[in-house]
Amino acid sequence: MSGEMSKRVTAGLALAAAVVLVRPAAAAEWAAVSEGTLSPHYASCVVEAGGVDAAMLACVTDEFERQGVRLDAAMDAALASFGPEAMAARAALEQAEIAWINYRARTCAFASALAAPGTRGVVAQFECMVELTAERAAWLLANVVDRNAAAP
Amino acid sequence: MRLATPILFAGLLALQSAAARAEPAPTGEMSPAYGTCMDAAGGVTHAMLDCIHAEIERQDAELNAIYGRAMENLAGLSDADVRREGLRNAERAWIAYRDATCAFLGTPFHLGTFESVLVADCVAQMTAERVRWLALHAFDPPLEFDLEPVRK
Repeated sequence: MSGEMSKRVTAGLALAAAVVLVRPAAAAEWAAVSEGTLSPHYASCVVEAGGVDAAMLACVTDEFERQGVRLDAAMDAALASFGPEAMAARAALEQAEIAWINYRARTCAFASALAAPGTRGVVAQFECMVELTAERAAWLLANVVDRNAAAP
Repeated sequence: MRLATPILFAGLLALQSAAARAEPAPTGEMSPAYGTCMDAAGGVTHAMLDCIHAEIERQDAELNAIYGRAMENLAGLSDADVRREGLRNAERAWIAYRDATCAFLGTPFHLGTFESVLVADCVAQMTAERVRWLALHAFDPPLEFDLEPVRK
């Protein structure tokens, strides 16, 4: 458990470093970020919220903002990781990103509709957005940045 | 255009209704038969593709089955029409996202990679993940998984 905790803290620090660097070029830094998906702030915020909808809403919207920064940085790193010979792959990635954004919107609208109406539904929608955004950033790092870095 | 084949194939399968071989419980994992098939393929590309296409067929059948169950389940809830339409929209957006993502993975990053295998594997893996997502998020309470150990 404490190993898991320290892993999360390390990932959090790496995330903070990545945000400060704005556009980190090295895939190694990103490998560290991809270890942890959700921020330590989020975990402690959820515990403190104690199931109160209004408090949970603040946690999920804050985390969504953090994950948005992380995703933007991951996408920038992904696009920057292609050589000039891979223009088709870059264009295909941009197409896939548009499809992903639509998928996230539709999926999380459904998650919201399945939950109770009102604040709970909005919390469910943001929880879904946070989860999918974090997954997408990790996916971009593993399948694009790391794959390009490992290329001969 | 060898890339288009698996995607088109997956798309056609997705259009078939839930009639196909439904498992009693979703696994959300690649099937044991897939691991056996891949071991026997011994790294030969066309044999691997046969294994993956068979797995896509199995995963599509699972996805269709669980999607059908989710839609049936939603029919019994309040606001059934809105919720069912939400899931239908989410599923369409997911198919577009999966196809765009797997097409991207098949666009050459570098020379000499096994794109056709990557595309087909991507479709199979993402479909299995979608089964898992639906089981966890499209039912209240979430569906139970068949937790038998699965060979990759």
